[in-house]
This record gives sequence, C-alpha cells and structure tokens, in this order.
Amino acid sequence: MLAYPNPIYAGRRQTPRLIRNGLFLAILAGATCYALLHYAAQMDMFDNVILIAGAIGLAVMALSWTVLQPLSLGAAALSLAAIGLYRGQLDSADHVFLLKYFLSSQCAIMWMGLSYWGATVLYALGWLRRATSWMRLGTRAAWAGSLFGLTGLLVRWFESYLMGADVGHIPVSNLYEVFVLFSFLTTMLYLHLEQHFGSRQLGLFAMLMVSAAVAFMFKYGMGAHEIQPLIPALKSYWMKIHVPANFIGYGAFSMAAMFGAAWLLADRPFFASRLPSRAWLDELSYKAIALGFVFFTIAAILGALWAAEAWGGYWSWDPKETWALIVWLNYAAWLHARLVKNVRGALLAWWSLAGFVITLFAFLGVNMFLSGLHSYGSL
Amino acid sequence: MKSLLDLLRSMRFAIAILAVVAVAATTGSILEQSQPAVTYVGRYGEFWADFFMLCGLTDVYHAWWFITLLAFMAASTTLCLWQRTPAMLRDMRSYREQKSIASLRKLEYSAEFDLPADQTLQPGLASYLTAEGYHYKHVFTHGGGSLLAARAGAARRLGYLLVHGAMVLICVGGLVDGNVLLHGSYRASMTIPEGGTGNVALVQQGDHVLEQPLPFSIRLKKFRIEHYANGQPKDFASDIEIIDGQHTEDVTLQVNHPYTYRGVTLFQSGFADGGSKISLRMLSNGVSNAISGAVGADLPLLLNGEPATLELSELRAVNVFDKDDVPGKAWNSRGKPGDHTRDVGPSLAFRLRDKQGQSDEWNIFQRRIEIGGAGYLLIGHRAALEPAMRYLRLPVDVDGSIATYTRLAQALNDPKARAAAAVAVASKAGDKRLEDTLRMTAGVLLEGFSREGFRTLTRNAPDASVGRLYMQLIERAATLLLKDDADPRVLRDALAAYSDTVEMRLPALFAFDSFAQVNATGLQVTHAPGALLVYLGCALLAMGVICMVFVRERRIWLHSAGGKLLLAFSANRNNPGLQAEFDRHAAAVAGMIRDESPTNMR
Repeated sequence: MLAYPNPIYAGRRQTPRLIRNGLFLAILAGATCYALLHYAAQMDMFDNVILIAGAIGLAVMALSWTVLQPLSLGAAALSLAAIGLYRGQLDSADHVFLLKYFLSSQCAIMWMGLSYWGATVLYALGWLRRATSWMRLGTRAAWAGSLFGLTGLLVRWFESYLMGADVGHIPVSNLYEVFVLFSFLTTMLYLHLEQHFGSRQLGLFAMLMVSAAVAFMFKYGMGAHEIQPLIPALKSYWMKIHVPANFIGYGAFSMAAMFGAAWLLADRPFFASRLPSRAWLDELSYKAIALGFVFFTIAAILGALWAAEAWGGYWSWDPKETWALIVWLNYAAWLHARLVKNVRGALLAWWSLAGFVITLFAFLGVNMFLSGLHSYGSL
Repeated sequence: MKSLLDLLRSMRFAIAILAVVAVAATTGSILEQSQPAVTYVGRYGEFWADFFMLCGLTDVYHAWWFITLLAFMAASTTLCLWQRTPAMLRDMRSYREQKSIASLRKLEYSAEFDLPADQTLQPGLASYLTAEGYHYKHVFTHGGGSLLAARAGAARRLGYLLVHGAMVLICVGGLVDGNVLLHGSYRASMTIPEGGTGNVALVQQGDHVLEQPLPFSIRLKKFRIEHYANGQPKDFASDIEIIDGQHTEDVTLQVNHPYTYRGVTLFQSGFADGGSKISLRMLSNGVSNAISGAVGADLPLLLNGEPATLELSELRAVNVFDKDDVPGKAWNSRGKPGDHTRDVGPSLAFRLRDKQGQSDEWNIFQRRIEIGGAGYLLIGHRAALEPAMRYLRLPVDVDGSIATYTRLAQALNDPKARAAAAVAVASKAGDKRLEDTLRMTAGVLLEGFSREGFRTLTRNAPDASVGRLYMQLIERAATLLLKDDADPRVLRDALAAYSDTVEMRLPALFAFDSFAQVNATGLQVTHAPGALLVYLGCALLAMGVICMVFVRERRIWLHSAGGKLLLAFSANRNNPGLQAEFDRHAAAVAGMIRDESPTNMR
C-alpha cells in the first residue's frame, strides 16, 4: 500500500510490537492446532484447508494491520463466552442474561447496527464542527460495531448447529446474513483506509452507506432473520469463499461511489473545508475500485468454479451471473479509462456513482425483479 | 484493412466494446430468454414478439450478433496484447539507464544534492536500493559520471500480460463450449426412472429438443431424497451404474458432487416421478369405485354414466406448509425446524377430462389435515376457466372416515328421506297450523339446499333474521336426516362441505388411498472441452489482476558527477502519495550524504 501522510497514528508505532505480535501468533496457532486435533473427526479435507488458510490469512492481515489482533481476539472471546453460556441449548438465549441482551447472534447484530448508526452520528457531528474529538468517538463506535458484528456472525454460525447438526452452516447463505457481512466488511475497509490515510473526514460518507445497509437489514430482517436450513445446491465449501469475496467487492465499490460523491461536492467551500483534496478523493476512489475489482474478479471465478460443480456449467447466463459480468465490464471500462486514457475528474466520479447503481442492481435488483438459479437471496 | 485494425486496437474501441457487451447482456437478463414463441406474443403482442425474434433478443446469448460482439472483444484484446507484448517485455527488463540527465532533472520528482569531495556514495546507495526492494544497474555516463538506474515492481507489466492473455483464453474457451469454434460440446439433461437405463440425453434448443447420444449407458439403481426435520429437502442423490460395454462402474451422484467419465460430466440436477403406483377411490352417488394406475398414465372411467379420462399427473410424498397458527415473528425469534412449518403428508394431482376434451384439475391429500382443531380431508378442484384452485374440506369422523358426510349427502338427495325429516322437524312444534307451515318450509328448504346449498337461504329468506331461523331449521332437519346423534361440529362442517360441493359442481369425490413411490432422477450431462482453457484463463486472470493492482512499478535514478548527486523518481501511476514516498527517499539520501561527509567523520 501507499505511504500516506499519516498524522493520526504516527506516534503509535513505538509500542513493543514484537511481544504483542508473538503472543497473538502463538494464540492463533494454538487455537488452530487445537481445532485441527480436537475436531479432526468432524472435519474433512476442505474444512482443514479452509481453516489453515483462514488462520494464515488472518495472521498475515493482523501483522500488517495490528488492530485486527484485539478485534479478532475480542470476537473470539465473546463467541466462546456465548458458546459456554448456551450449554448446548438454544433456549438458553431466553433466560441467560448475557445471551438475552448481548451475545445471542440476533442481539449482537442489533448492537452492531446501533453502534454503526451511532458512529455515523458522531462522525457527522465531528465533520460539521470540524472537531476531531467527536470523530475519534465515531471511530470507537465503528470499532465496537465491528466487534459486535463479527461476534454476531460467529455466534450465529454456532447457533445454526444448535438447531440441528445437519442445519449448521456458515452465516452467508441468505440476504439477511450477507447484509450483516456487507455492513461489517464495508466498515472494516473504511477503518483500514482511515488508519492508513490518516484522516477521518470521509467517515461520515462511508458510514452513511453502512447505516443505509443496516436500516434496510433491520426493516427487511424483521421477518427473515431466522436461521434456515440450506437448500441442497448451497451445501458446498465454495460458499465459504465465494460469498465473502463478493462482498468485499460490493463494499469497496460502494465506498468508491461515496468518494465519487465527495469529489463532486468538494468544489463547494462548505465541503472543501471538510474534505481531503480532490486529488486524494480521486486516488481513494481508484484504490477502492481497484481493490473491489480484484475481489470481484476472484469472486466471479470462484462462482464459475462452483457453478461448474452445482449446475453443470461454469457459465449459464443466469441473471445474477450476467449482472456480475455487467458490473465487471463496467469497472473494467472505468479502470481502462482512468489508467490508459488518463480520464480524470467529474466523469470518473459520476461513473463511479453509476457503477454503484449497477452494483446495487446486481446485488438486490436481480433478486427483486429477475428470476433465475440464484434464488436463495429472494426478497 | 489497416484502418479497421487501427480501430480494433484503439483504446476507445476497447472501452466501447466493454460497454456494448454490458448493454447487450442486460437486454438478455431483462427479457426472459428461450421461451416458446407463444409466451412472447401473449406478453408483448405480435408486433413486438416478431421484432424480438427477428433481432434474436429472445435468445441473446446465442444470437450471431452477440457472439460477434464477444469475438470483437477477444480480437481487440488480442491485438492490444500482440501490439504491446514486445514493448512490455522490453520495459520489464530495462533499467532505462539511457535516459538523459537533462530529462531526469525535468521529472516531477527530482532533487539534487551536493556531494562531499570525491565521494560517489555508490555502495551505500546501492545497498539502500536493494533494501527498498529495487533491482539496479550501474553504468558510467559520458561526462565521467556514475548512474545507478533502479526499478521495482516489474510484475505489474507481467500482470497486464496475464490479464489480457487470460481474457483471450476465456473467450476462446467460451466460444468452443458455445459450439461456435468447434462442434461437439453440449449441455443436456436426462430423466431415468429407478431400475431404468438411458443412453440418450436431450438438449433444449429454443422451441425444439435435440437428442444427444452418450458414449455409454446409465442405469439408475436408486434415487434418494433426504429431508430436514421440517420436511424441507436436504439432499438429492442417485446411485447409478455406468455401463460402458463390458466395463461397469458404480457411482453416487449428489448435488454439488458431480462425476466425470470419459470427458462427460454427470450432475444431479433434479428429480421426477418414475411412474409411482397409485390407488384411489371415486365416490359418486353413494357408490365407491376403486381406481389404480401409475403416475403419467391416462385411466378411462365412467363418470356418472359418461366416459371420461383420469390423467394422473403428480404425486408429492411430502407437502410442507406454513402453520396457520403461528404468532408473528419477533425480532429475536429463532424458528427452530418445525416451528413454523409442518408436513401435511402425500398429495396427488390429476386431471379429469370429459369426452369433449375439457379438463379440470384436482389435488387430493391422503391424510386428514388439522385445521382449527378439527380434522378434514382436503380436495382441491379447479375448473377449466377458474383462476385458482378451491379446496373442499370434508369433515372426518372419529373413526377417520367421512361417513357422516356421505350419509348426509345421500339423505339430502333422497326425496323420501327429506320428506320424512321435514315431518319429524315439524312434529315437535305441538301446534297443528304451525306444524303444517314448518313441514312445508323445511321441505322446501331441504330440497333447495340439496340443489344449490346455502344459496337457497339467500334466495328464500326475506331478511337476515329469517335467514338465521332457516339455517337453524336446516341444521335440525339435517340431524334428523342422519337419524342419530352426530357431533354438531361435524354436522355443521358436513353441511358446509355439501354446499361447497354443489357450488363447485363437483361431479364426484375422490379419496387418495395409497401409493408406492417410484422415483426418477434428473441428470445434467455435459461435455465441455473448452472448460480447461477457461479454467486456465481464470487462474491467470486472478494472478494478473492481483499483480496489476497491488504491484506498483517504480523507478529511481541516482546520478553522481562533478560533486553533485541527482535523485530522480517516477512511478507508473501518478498519485498524490508519491510526493511523500519521494521525500522519504530524498531524506534517506540526504542522511547518507551527511553521514559520509568529512564533518561527520571527526
């Protein structure tokens, strides 16, 4: 990644990182080995590979972005606490205080949503008053929301197994669950950018997008939050990687759109005094789209491989596939225009907003208006 | 020709073709594809249907113009690649050491330092470059100067080659599997009943179906469906035997677990009925006739003296319905399996076709179904022109039969029984004149009810209060028709059911007795020789995109001559972060000069 001018976090690098990193790696390695040895009977080769790859991925990410260490350990501790409190009974959520109000997945997800809304309000206050102290609170609230969100997803994963050994599955299988994932991933992408770029001025923009997602999730989720058993076509290890990769892409594209909007607003004095320079906004849009493009490409490839296994062909011109292709072609054209034709400015900003509309249609519109093989995320 | 080539390889064309393919793909996803012509005419009118079909919009992804677009995309990418690869490879290896000092000075990021006498700092700078991840080349320049030309991130250009090469591979593979470049790939389906053998699959092509012979035969030994606790299907699996001449192979196919044999891949895709044995009873005019046959068969029968055909269309062994008494879901409800849904047991759908060829649809359930605390037998019926299926609820007696209903229906259709019941109702009045009136009224009401159900009340009663009175009279008369103490609730339900039967004009009633299920498996059979190209392309694409986005190509030149050190820096993409990176390098170089300078040596 680039060397950003980074006034906020510059002073923090002197902590004794070696010990902390070492401790984190030791805990991670220990937990992975424990899982591999203790649950060997329940796991097949793919589970083992995914577990080990996941652990290595987390280690690499948490070494370069150390805040992930307390986040992942915190979420793990809360999830283990929830698992302990459940005592193997789903009904414990009705009478155990901590589960009933904090740790059961549905509660944790509610807290995630409330924290993200709170973060948006705090960022907005700080942004309007140009007060760093409020924005710093916004960052805290966003981190708290992410902790709750990750815990909620992990506990939900466990709860699905409490519903029946054959029901259990990773919580990325329906629209409600992927909205939680989307909110979490988009916030994490923003927080990463905030830390590396060293400015909280875009917090309001990114968290507005997340807040909208949370609002939709709450409204829609009121009837659809219950854990459902998987239909046969979804019972595949591909789901574990295809869906998250897709949502990193969606999250990055939606952030790019917000940065595009910020770019368009940045010529007014009111906004100009509260936003990074246009050159930076342009650069951040590019970075978001480039990152999204990488993950979206990988997700599409994983989807093709999965389709080849489940539907008998790597490509079926199913509406969801077709729209994924449209999204991909659109951003490919965007990148060509920027990188090769050196197009800059308003055109790209508007284009990234239009790209978001296309992405949104591919994500939601296809499920609402078109029918096809991808019918699990129906509204 | 030259101008065509120029157009094809221009970036403007490349961006345009990406956009055009995107728009074309959009039309295909919005207009439903590969439907029979009738559907389009029905939905959009004849003119538009003709227009769509003329333009190939009803099967966009196989239309010649869409394939041409894809071919153009592939051609444009190929030309770009062809044109740029040599320069790219050259650039990847080049250190650009020939760049003139004047042009280096003009770069956006350059700085000049004073060197202490006779110092070149060459070893220190070289190790700095290596530490920063740069490769460098050392050359002497004309004026007796020394130049370190360094580069990092050559993988970015490799990424470019990989991505564009991958797109060509994927397009070629896709065109092979789309039967454009070669013939022989297919995606077909076949249905095999349990115990049956098949060696021909069917390919749907627009309106018609083509036969695709397979190089081997498949025998279905057993088809299995597993269910979750709430009745929802969990997994479909087929135990099949592949028969290839003398060689046989036992294989189990499951959803998401295909099997490839001799380049042909078999997928579990669905299931169908393989001719399950059904036995049911037809009840008309108090006579019960047993009928039996297999699903898919047409059974001739006599319906109220008229010849008719019964076509058994579908057997469902499991019917999962939402429970009707579920409280609203709370924000934290969990909905364990079976909380909201229940399996109401097997059902049978059939059509009853009369001799004019008119048919109506039926759907009957085998087991009694609890509704509001009482048990009913459900019979669904939809006449030819009715929009939706209506369900008749027959009340079930304690012993599980529908005897109360059948006895009531028979008695209502028997004039003698009706007259007797009318007399019996009236006899309890005590007053002679009232008795006569009551007997007559009850007689008229019962006769009317037997013909047209509860409608007779609205026809005969002048107002609602009289209607209620008549209703009571019918209920009491019905009790007497049965000549015994029937459960009042069952009786009321039986009256309602009779009324519905009359209103729905059901020629007979049917009861679903038993069945022996025979399943058929639905398989997809594909042969995709282009798939390997596509997968290879996908792997290269993923690697290439990662290289292009995450690797930045950067160059540094350090030229020292005549007591001056020139630092110049450039990157493949200008961005506001470069200044900070350049400042870092400049500070490092300045630091080295300071450390090496004689003042520091003391």
